[in-house]
Amino acid sequence: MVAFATVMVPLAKAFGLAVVAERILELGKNLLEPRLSSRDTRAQPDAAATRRAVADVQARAQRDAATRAAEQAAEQRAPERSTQSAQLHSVRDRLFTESDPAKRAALLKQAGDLSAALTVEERHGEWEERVPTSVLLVQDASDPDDGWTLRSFVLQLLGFAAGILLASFADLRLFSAFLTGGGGGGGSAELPGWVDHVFTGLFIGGGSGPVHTLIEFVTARRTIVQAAELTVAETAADKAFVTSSPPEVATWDGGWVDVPYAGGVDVDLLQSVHRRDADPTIIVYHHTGMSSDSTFDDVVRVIKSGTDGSGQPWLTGYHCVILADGSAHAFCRWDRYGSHAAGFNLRSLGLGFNGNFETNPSVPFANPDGRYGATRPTEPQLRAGARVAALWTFLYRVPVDFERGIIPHRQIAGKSCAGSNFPYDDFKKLVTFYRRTWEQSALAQERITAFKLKPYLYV
Amino acid sequence: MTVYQLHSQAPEVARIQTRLKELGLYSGPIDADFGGGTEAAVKAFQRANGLAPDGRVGPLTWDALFGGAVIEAPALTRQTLAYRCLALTGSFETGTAPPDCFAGLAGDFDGQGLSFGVLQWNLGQGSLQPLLVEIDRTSPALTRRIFDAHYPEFEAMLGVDRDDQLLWARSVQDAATSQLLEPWRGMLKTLGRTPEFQAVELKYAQQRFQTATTLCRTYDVWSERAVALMFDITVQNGSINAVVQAQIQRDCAALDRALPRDEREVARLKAIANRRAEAATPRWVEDVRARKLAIATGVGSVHGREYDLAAQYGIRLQPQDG
Repeated sequence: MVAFATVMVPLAKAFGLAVVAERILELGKNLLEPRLSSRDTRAQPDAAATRRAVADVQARAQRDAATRAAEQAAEQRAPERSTQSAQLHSVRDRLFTESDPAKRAALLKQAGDLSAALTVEERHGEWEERVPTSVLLVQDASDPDDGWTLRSFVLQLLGFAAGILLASFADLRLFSAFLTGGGGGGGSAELPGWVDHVFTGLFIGGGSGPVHTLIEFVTARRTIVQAAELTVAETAADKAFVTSSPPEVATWDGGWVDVPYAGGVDVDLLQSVHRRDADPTIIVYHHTGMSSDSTFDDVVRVIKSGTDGSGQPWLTGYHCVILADGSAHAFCRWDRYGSHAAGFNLRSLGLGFNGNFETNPSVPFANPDGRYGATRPTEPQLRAGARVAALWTFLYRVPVDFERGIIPHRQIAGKSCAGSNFPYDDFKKLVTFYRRTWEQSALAQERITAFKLKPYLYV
Repeated sequence: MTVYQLHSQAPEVARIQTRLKELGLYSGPIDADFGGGTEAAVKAFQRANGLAPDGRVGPLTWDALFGGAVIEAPALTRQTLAYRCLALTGSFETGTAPPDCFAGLAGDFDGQGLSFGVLQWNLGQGSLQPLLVEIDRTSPALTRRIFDAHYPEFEAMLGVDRDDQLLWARSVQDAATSQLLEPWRGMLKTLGRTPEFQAVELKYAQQRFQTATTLCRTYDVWSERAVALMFDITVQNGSINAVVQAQIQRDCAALDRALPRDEREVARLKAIANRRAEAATPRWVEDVRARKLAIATGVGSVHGREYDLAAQYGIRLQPQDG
């Protein structure tokens, strides 16, 4: 009992003082923050800023009206555009086999006319999916630290100082208490009093920081383990499908794909613009034309840095971007129309596979030799894309029809998107498979119902 | 004194080859390139005519070959300084002697579709199109004659956007080797050798030439060689950055003030050549150095070709002529 009291009493005191030290630290933080941080977020918005914000909204509304008008004009021409795009593809192909000079001249003229007719509208309705290889390499460096290290260092010093002062005022000697079994007043033979005050002060001065670190560490580990388990489970099930076709369909729920909305287009930016008149009925799938090694942030940065036909940066793009690792990211709100397929934007959803799957070297900005990374979508990427497409067929009235409902961009534009090396047949098979499996799975139906509660992605 | 000898490249060499061929002494190609075969033929001619067989065509041998004519300096040396500088840099860039270097032609080895001309203007970056449009506008008869039945295709190509221009370029070359196919290869080369197209090339290189003369003033160098060196730097390396500029100025300040004017100039040019070369990508430093030093010193070997700036290009260590 005695031994317990001699250890516990100073320890309890120490914890009490640690709380005091932490309060002092908080005070210091509040005093330091305005001096160290670059911008003061607590400032009141002034009248000019408010007027600017209102003007921004008005400009966006005007632009939206213009976009909508351009889009409706393009929509009028949609059947014609489809024919023109098919013609353009065939004219370009014929240029490589034709040898008669007069016919070649005619073909070139025809290609020029067709692509001119198509690009006028494309420049207003979709971002161009052509990225020079140098773009991803040239990125402005930013300071990842933002003064945070300096701030926490100063605060930590402040905490230690407060801890040491408290320890000496309260004459608390934690280490002597542990070593000799006799806490409280009186000097100890092993440790001079002031040294023990310093050590005890350091212990107290840390505040609750070390505990936070410990909790964070344990939580992070748990998350990693769970994610790893998830990945393994899903891949095994998927592999079973890919290798042996579906006797186990009835028992398997078909997996799922999570779509976070983070890092894309700010939801508020689209609050009053890009509204749809009706639910989408078409899914247009694309490749981004960028390196498969690029991250979602890269995709967002590159698309936002591009401009439309009127010289304004794009407000939207695809609805969903699938990366090579099989992760799906919402780029813009699904309850708004995007800018990915001129003439079809108002009634379609855009699905972008990140990568460049055009391997024909005669196409500009092609990826014949892996200069843009993978020349074919990875298996997880293709599966995730197929799941998103299947999910959309449940959320909206998109027919599972690969001529009219779920189409590649090249079918309606003078582009080669989603690339000549994109596994179109595999994609179609996978979409059909997930659709059929989810129709039969109660769990999948529950997930779809739950998904409909997601703000911006459905409601 | 003008002498044509091993490594000489000039239209005049073609005249010598033609004459030797008529005499049955030479059986190689008439390529305006003075090689070992031409040298052996000249020696045989000299022996047969009682001249010292040194394999060099000087005034005496020229006189014997062409029956009393006075030897001509290469026509190139009588051109403007801008033209001569362009020819020299073009020769380095394309690996061929003038006037062939004005018709330098490469396929899509670099993703730019087609590169053409003395400074390798290309379709991909859109730098070649203005030249082709200009020659077609200023000399319509010439382009029509050269491209003949293919003229409508040429004209249509100039009218479409860049994607289709690139597509066209790729449709007229071998995908594996990036070599242009006939007849386009021959037609474009013919166009490049015409004085009319060379005038267009000169016009489009004029801005670089201005930059070169400005650089000469900055570095206080005055000779024709200096202009040639600066022009080559603007074409191959773009410019001279502040760090290299400081290095060069320090090197030049350290030079002996008592040096004669010409030696001072050469020493300055060598400092510029060395410092600029050392600032290049490590892999290319020695390549750049050999090229720049050949200009600074007036003689040298670049990419296996022997250069003598005064004799071949008329670029001398004398003040620029206005």
